[in-house]
Parts: sequence; C-alpha cells; structure tokens
Amino acid sequence: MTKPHRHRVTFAGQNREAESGEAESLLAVARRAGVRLLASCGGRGTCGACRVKIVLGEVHGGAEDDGWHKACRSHARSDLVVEPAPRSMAAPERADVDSRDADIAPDPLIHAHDLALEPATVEDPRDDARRLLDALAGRAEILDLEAARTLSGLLRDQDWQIRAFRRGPTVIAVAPRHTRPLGLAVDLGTTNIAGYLVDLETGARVAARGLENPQTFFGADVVSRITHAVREPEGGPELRRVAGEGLAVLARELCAHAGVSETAILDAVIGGNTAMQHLLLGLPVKQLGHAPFVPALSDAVDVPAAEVGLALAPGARVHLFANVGGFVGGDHVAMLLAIEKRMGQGATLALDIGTNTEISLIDGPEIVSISCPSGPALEGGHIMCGMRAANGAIERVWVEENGTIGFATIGNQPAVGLCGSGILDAVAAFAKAGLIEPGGRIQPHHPQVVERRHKKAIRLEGEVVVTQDDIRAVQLAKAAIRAGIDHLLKAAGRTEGDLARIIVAGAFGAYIDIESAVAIGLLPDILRARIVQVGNAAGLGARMALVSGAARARAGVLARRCRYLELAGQPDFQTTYLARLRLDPNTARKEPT
Amino acid sequence: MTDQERQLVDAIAEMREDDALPMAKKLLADGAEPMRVLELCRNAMDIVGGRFEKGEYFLPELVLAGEMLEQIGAIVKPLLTGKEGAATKKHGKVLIGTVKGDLHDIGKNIVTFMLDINGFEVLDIGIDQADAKFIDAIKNFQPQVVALSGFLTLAFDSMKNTVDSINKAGLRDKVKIMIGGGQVDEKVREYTGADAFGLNAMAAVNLCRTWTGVAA
Repeated sequence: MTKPHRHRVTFAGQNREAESGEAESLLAVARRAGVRLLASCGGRGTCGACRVKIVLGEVHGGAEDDGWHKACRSHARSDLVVEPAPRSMAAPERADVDSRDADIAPDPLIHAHDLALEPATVEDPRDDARRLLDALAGRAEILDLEAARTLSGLLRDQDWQIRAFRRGPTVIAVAPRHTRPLGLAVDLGTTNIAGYLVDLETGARVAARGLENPQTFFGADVVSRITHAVREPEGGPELRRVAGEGLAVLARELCAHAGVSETAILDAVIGGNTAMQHLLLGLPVKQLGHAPFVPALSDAVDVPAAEVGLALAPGARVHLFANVGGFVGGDHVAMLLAIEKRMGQGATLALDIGTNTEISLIDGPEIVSISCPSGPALEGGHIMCGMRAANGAIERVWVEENGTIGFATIGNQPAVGLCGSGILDAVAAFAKAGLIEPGGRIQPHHPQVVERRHKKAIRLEGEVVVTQDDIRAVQLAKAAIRAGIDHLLKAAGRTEGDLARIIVAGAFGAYIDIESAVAIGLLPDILRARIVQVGNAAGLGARMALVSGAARARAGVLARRCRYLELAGQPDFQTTYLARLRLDPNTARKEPT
Repeated sequence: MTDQERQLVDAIAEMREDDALPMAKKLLADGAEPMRVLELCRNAMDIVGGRFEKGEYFLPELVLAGEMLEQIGAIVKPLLTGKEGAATKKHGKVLIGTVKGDLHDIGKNIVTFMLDINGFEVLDIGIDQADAKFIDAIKNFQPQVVALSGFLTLAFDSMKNTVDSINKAGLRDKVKIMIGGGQVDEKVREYTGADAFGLNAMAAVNLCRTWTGVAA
C-alpha cells in the first residue's frame, strides 16, 4: 500500500501553514490552519468568495479564467504557497456600530451583597455555606455548587469580608468586596457577532467587540447553515460547537480588554434570529428549513452558560429572547425593545436589514412581523467584487456633476472591492447616470462598460467591477424587502403615507445612504425626517435586557404582541415582487390588491 | 422577413408593449397569415430568451413579454382554421410543480410560460406538492417530461423523495425528470436522481426540446 501524498500548504502573509492530503480542498486546509477565508456558498464552488492565488506549487481543480483559484475546488498536488485574495480575507471592522450606553435605569437580575461574616470558631462550627446564607438573612436559600467550591478559600483569604452575588434565592458567585458585577450582551448575527461587556449596577458599557460569526465557514445565509446541519451527519453539533467557540472568544477578548476574568461575568443575554438561536441551543432545524417554517421552540429560555459554550461565573445563566415565528427571532425582539420608546403615535415601520431582513409594522397594540430572504448582496456577499467593510472597500459611490461616477473607499486606500453600502450606492448612481436602465440592464456604449465572463459589467477602478449579475442580485434583495413592506402595509390596511416613521436598524442599515435606498426603491419615499438610522438596535436591546429585569419582561410582552406573517403564503406576492424589481422609487404600479 | 414583420419582432423583443399589439393587428388586417404572426412571436421570444441568458433581460422582461404574447395570441388564435389549429399541436407534454415543503413559484411560473410559448403542453400542479400528487398527475396527464421546482435548499430532499416515489411507482422509465429553481448543480442532480438540472427558463426549454426531439 502506498502512503497517501501529504503536502505542506503555506498561507503567504498569514504566517500559517498546514499539512494537506490530496483529497482535502484548500478551503478545508485554510480552516484547519486558522486562516479565515470567506466561503459565502459554504464551499460549494458557486460564489467565488474563497479566491486564492497559487504562488508556488501544483494544484488540481478550481482554476478561474483570470489566474485565480477557488480554494474550495482546489486540491494540493505538491507543497504550496497560497495567497488569499484581499477580498477573501478582509476582517470585519465595523461589526460594532453603536457606542451608546443603554439609556435605562439598571434593575439587574443579579443582586450584590457585601457581607461581613463571623469567623468560624469551635463554639460556632456552622459550615461555610450555611454561614453565608445566614448572613444573607432570608434573601437566599441556595448556594450554587460551583460557587461553593470557591467559597471556603475566599472567606479565609478575604478575612470573612466578601461580596455575594444572588439571582433570586440562589447565590451564584462569591468574590472579594468591590468586585464589579459584569454582564455580557450579545447580538448573534448570521454574519457578525457583536458583544458588549456591561456593568450590571450602572448599565455602563465596559467594552465592546465585533467578531465574524465563525459559522460563516459553513455558508453565508441561514438556509445554507440549516442545510449543513441537516445534511452532514455531525453538522448540527458542529455548528453548535463553532457558535459556542465564537461566543467564548468574544467573552475572552472583552474580558481581556477590561482586565478581568470571564468568571467575573454573572449574567448574559443573547439575541439571534430563530435559526442562530436554534443552532446555538442544539435544537432541531430541519422543520425550520421548509414550509411552514416552524421553530422547535419560541419561548425565551434561560440556560446555564456552559450550554452555549461559555465559562462564566459559577452559577451564571444565559437568557435568549423569545422567537416570533419563522426566521423572525430573538434579535428582532431585542431590536423592538431598543426602539420601543421611539414608536410613539402613528404607524412605525422597523427594519433590521441583513442577510435575512426582518421587518415589523407597529400599529396600535399589534405588531406584524415578516422575514424577507434578502440574501447577502446588500452586505457585499455573492457580489463579484463584494467584500466586508474593511480598508480598500468602496463605501460611497455617486454621480459627479459631469456625469461620471465618483467613489470613496474606507481608509482612502486603493479600491479592492465594494462593501454593502458601496454596492447600494453604485446601483443607485448607475441608474441616475443612465448606465443602467430602470429594469437593471447595463447600457452598452459607455466607456466604463466592459465584458466579464461574457456578460456586461461596469468598471469602477482597476479590476473592481459591478457585473450585470451583481445588479440583478441587488434587485432581488431590494425587491424582497420592498415587496415585504408592501404586503406588511396591506396586511395592516395601511399605506406608505400613513407611516409616521421608518426605523432602519442593523450594521448595514447604519451605513447606507438613505437617498440611494429611496432612489432604487428599497425604502418608501416618505419625508426624510421620518426615516431614522439607529445602528445596532438588537445589540442595544440585548444590553437593556441584561441590565434590567423590567426590560427583559417588556421584551417578552413585545414578543407576544408580534404576529408572524409568512410572505411565501401570500397569493399575490409574486406580482408585487416582480414589480418591485425595478430600480426606481415609485414603482407601485402593481399594488397588492 | 418584411419590414412590417421585423417591426413586430422588434417591438416584442424591445419591450415596447404599446406598439406590439397594434402592429400584430395591422399585420393581420394587411392579410398576414395568423400562423405567420405566431411564428414571428416565437422569433421575438428567441431574442428575449437569448438576452435573458446573457443577463440583459431579467424576470420582469420575461413576464412583460409573456403579457404581450398573451394579448396577441388572444386575437390570433380564433383566426386559425381547423387545419392550422392542428398544426399548432404541442411538441410534447410537461408536468411541472413545486415540491413538498416549498412555496416558491416565481421561477416555476416563468418556466411554465416559456415552455408554453415554445409549443409545449404544460400542466402546472402548483406549489408544496407531495409525491403522490406528482404520481397521480403523471398517470393522468402522461407527460414526457416532469419538472420539479424548488427554491429552498431543503427542497432538494423533497425532489429526491419525489424521484424515488416515481421510481417505486414504476413510472421512472416513462418520463425524463429535470430540476431547477434554486442553486442546483450536478451534485444536486445526482443527489436527487433527476436526469438533468436547469439554471434558468431557457435551459428548461432546451432540455425539453432535446428530450422530445424538437429541433431548437
């Protein structure tokens, strides 16, 4: 028997290398080596996000016309030096876009008690736990076992002067006096995870951190994750473990930043869409992946932190918001909690734009919620030159006075690709400049129009182009969202003119140019003063629920007010959707009847 | 092709919906054969289909073209004599539906429409259809081709189940099966056990043409 060929794969500029067999794809090797290559399609060879250059050596498969290779389709045939494309590697820089503290009176579920215990003597040999509970004088009945393991040593080290942290009747942790009670709030997004370390007593933010959701390795959108969980024998446990590892890394980095140990975190709140919360909790997702899209569990849950891969304070628990229905999950409830006080009089439309866009219409006591499969295009995914918001990403595109197309990149670096806001601007600018017609077709005979893979594309700079297919992807995303809005309004018997305000949440929503969004018909054309961009409201809502029991209860009430509307079951959705593919502000020609 | 005929083809292909119907009416009034008008419509649709494949046209253009053809068809078909009517006999029968657990129908409807105007007799059984519905329809309608549509990735499992059931019912040899709708590829085709996959409506038409022996 011959020994299978093993090759050494070095990732240039990454300081990483790994051994590879000949059957393993370079994408798999990169993952093992800890190189964060994007794979929007989950490694199925369709998206081209994982492009690499083979600097040295021989590979089999994956070659593109332009000299690049798809890592998911290439296999080593010799030792290799591989250079990932800048677009494939760019790290998220702006996952955390909201710097405000939760504007809320703290009323945490965790109570701190400073105690001075009588030292044990021959005359008073009560056990340490009883001594602690007695000192709490009826406010606590139970000491968490893990906390008990640390109590005896702590009491003697601290001369019997300690701080006890209590949740309800249970002492969940003991610590030296003056220990700050900290909590962890997480917005668990499909693409990015935003985490916040919060002082539970003051509500102040101690640290914030963004991280790419490590599940992205298994696909860009919720559907490809669900597919992975269902198809692969160990897919579900694998996604659960990876999500937990992401949370653990986030907690570690936040605590390192604050100079504390993760065991200082006494409470945590996580909000994610239904699929993210299901995968994190190890709940079945198969039934969520097809009609009628039923969650396994919709109620809010409180679980020990270890259940989601976190090693926090001994008795710390993690709260996950209730899911509404379909893919409208806990992160949307968190968003509603954060914007609750903005709702005011009149109808409010609230959108959290992302790979999956959740939208609610708040109108009187009822909240109607929908989920639109907008896809990753608006976040720069599945776009030929799409990338994350990192240096060199085109983030603004406009029409100059002389009719040419101008643009700006993040960090004023040479253009490498386009991020979400850049894609949206680009399509709006092309339409305005007449480079594309309202139907989305690229017009010939313009100096910036070039051919890419036998289809037309518009060149911005160097190799950075927007292809006809990219424009179609934006149209599909835009139409999904706008047709959703149309049906939501119809279900409530409202029109766009009735909207007192539109609240645009989410990391992408924070950076888009509202004029571009209205120009291509993504958002209704209402008074601009009525359209507000609020940044990561889901993260804010998670922080509010973390520091306030009352807010947590209100989130539950909000979730119960929501009625989930399944768009796929709407008979005339197709007509609306097709009409909304047009790139203009007012194509309501075929209003749902 | 006369100038007048060319103008009708252009009007449809260029999406000038206000011109298309009057031009067709004028052709008929000037003595054109009804069959000739239908042929011109098909020529126009070849152009539309080609542009769709290149990404120049998109879903709304297909739908708009469909509406124009429907209007023209409505005035032409009553003019066809029995003999000519027989000449419009369909190329073959295609059964189409969205599989169990999937409610998407935009792509399916476009494929249905494209097959129809390209001379196929199409039976569309709708969305979220269980295997048994497909099998009943195969028995009653006797199609040469079965088209399974699904947008959701998990619809691939339903496609596989449907193909398996067709197999068990002993009908597999009687039909060609094509799949489409989502991100299908050769791997998915193999998984489902279908004969072919298509990425767009023109691909579906071409597959059916090949299978039923119609010259493209």
